[in-house]
Amino acid sequence: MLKAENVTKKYGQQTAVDDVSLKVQDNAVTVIVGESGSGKSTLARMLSLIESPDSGEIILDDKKTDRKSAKANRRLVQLVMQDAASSLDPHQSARQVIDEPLKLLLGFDKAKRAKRTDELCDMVQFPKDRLKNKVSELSGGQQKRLCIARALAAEPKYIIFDESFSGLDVTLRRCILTMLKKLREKLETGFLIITHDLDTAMYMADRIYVMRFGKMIETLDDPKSFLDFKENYSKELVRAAEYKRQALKL
Amino acid sequence: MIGKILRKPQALIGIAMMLTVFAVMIFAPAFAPNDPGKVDIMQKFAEPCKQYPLGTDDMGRCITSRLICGARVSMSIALPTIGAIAVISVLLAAVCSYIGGIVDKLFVIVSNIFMALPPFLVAMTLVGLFESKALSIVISIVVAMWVWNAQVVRTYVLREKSKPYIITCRMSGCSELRIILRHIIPNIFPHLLVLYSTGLSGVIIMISSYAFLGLGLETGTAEWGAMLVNANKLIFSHPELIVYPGLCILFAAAGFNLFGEALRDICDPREG
Amino acid sequence: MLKVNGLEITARTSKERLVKGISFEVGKGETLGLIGESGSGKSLTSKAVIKLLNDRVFEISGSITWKNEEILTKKAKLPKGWRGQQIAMIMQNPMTAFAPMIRLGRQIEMGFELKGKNARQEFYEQLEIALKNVNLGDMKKILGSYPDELSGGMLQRVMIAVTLMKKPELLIADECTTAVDAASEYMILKQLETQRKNGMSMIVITHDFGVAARLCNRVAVMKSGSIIEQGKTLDVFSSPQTEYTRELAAASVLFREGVC
Repeated sequence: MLKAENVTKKYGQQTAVDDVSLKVQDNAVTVIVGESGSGKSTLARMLSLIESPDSGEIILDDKKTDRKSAKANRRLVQLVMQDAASSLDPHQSARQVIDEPLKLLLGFDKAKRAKRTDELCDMVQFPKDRLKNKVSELSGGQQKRLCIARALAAEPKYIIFDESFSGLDVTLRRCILTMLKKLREKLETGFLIITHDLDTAMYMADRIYVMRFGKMIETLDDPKSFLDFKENYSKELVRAAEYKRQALKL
Repeated sequence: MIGKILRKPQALIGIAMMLTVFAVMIFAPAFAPNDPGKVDIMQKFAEPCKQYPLGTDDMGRCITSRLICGARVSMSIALPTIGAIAVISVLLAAVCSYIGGIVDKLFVIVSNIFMALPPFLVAMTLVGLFESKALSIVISIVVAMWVWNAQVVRTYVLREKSKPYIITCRMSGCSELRIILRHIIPNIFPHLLVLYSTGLSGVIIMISSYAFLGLGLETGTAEWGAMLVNANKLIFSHPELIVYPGLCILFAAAGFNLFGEALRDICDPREG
Repeated sequence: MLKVNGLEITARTSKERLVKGISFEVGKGETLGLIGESGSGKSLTSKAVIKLLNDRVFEISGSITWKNEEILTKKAKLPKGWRGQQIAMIMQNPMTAFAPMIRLGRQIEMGFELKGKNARQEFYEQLEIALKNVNLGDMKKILGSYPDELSGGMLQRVMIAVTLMKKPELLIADECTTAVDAASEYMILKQLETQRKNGMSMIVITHDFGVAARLCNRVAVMKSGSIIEQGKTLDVFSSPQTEYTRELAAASVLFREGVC
């Protein structure tokens, strides 16, 4: 289990994350919903051990993490960022992107790497004939798949998706989400999805957290429908979706 | 990348001009119709003719030959200078980024002090230090100019380092050193190429202006700047003498500048 | 009211056909949804209708008539204030729709020609009501702030309130709820629905069938520059004729496949 316990992070005067606790379970999808500026990206960076909190603890498998252990643990928590194009080194080829974690984190030799790359491409449905292409020559969907493949290559215990699906065309988003959902069932990996989009949240989640102004305001342990929310703000979030749903007579 | 360069006329013109300069530099003795140093006072201010395609100067030396050999002198000083500046600035920027913290701060302080000194002043102070005039010119320009380039390269490195993909690289297990060598430097390489090819044109002009100030090479050396000074006093009687070396400096500097700027447009269409 | 016939838009430099001969019609009080994803040409089409496309960049052919008058030709004389009073447009990103260095109050005032004290007072009374309609109660605070001091959702609501004050006959809403937060989306949808009931014609550009279902009686699905399907919103949604429309409809109601 990956846990945040009473985590606080400040940037100057601004408190980005204020006394937040949450659990990311193994073999399940946890979702954080919140508007932009609610501090969810900061939380994501802390959970993926890139930044350390000002106070509070990030606990990975019952062990507290600090700056030293963060490096050793880095393989176990992988982050997929929002914009695929800018989160990949533009001068690398797709194969090099996947090769790097295989070589540096897992120490695979060349033959093993090639085999594993093949498997990963199948998992995320990345076309193999595009592996030799530069990142900048790939389409948006292919870049996103490559980002996911790279994260999977490290064989992590947890993958954090920080707004990874916003900004995609809706049909592509659905494609990738269905793929991830199937993949989740096969793998022993915990997913944490951070999003402002309720559709994505409801589609993927086993547990939902709602965040606002840096605080965790609501937890939905067993989301069955939109209507289970209790807090006013969460209900407000749901209202537009409900409103549209009524119009479609669903 | 190469395809894009070939499709851009500005880059092609720049390359053609650069190649011309290099060709003239390498094959200077073969091109030169006469000995550039040969003084023939009987022939002074000769009209352009078969033997002297551009005529002769006030000492009866063949202008064409002097211009051609001048390319060699200029470039043989300019190239090592820019090379040294490139090595120093990339190395420093990489070290600053790798170690960071106090080393980086120290670098900023030292470089700010150096930047407060006008490069020409530094260069002029140092130019007399060494026996060999050429070497002292190289060293004085390097000492005067390294800080400007190192600052720029450091900014490139820092800017590249703040891009989101660096986080992805860390996630993939890259060490700091690997991030600098394998990710940052390849990505800023086109920018460096631009920086140093435009920088080269600056150095060419600087060398010529040294000669113009009388700080350069031995008097009588066939060098563009020196020719310019020499022609200065004849500006009213024989203005063409000042035009020829001037055009040569312009040609070489413009060639590198054109190429560099075309390269920048290709690498980064949003900037510039 | 608005008739578009065989509209073609070609990029002049790359000779690429971005919109490939589309035709549609919007009658008085009618609302049409243009549904599609990036690259489908839906935004270009709407910009052509309001004459915001640069002639030097795009080559436009076909015909667009507004109240039986051709507006696509160069000769077409449009009355002053045609854009805004007759056809108005709301863009996707409210942050770029306002000038960042001018307080909102002054900016809004510039859009209206106010002469005399009475006109000003009347204008501000109307503005207050308009802002209240989109759930922005504190007019003073909003007019005194710079665009970046408000959230994207609030700015978009200001934009809509001001646009509606001119009572345009046709409103083009280009992905106007895509970039805003969920709470604002609800208010915007509600306000636009009220306008629809009051008889305003609308072209709603979106990728979301839910938005279209709220606001439009008819939808046209666009893909790579062509209209591939047209019909009543709920018909198209519940029994799509093409594979692409089916995918798009499924993507709009992702949640239904999940736990609901």
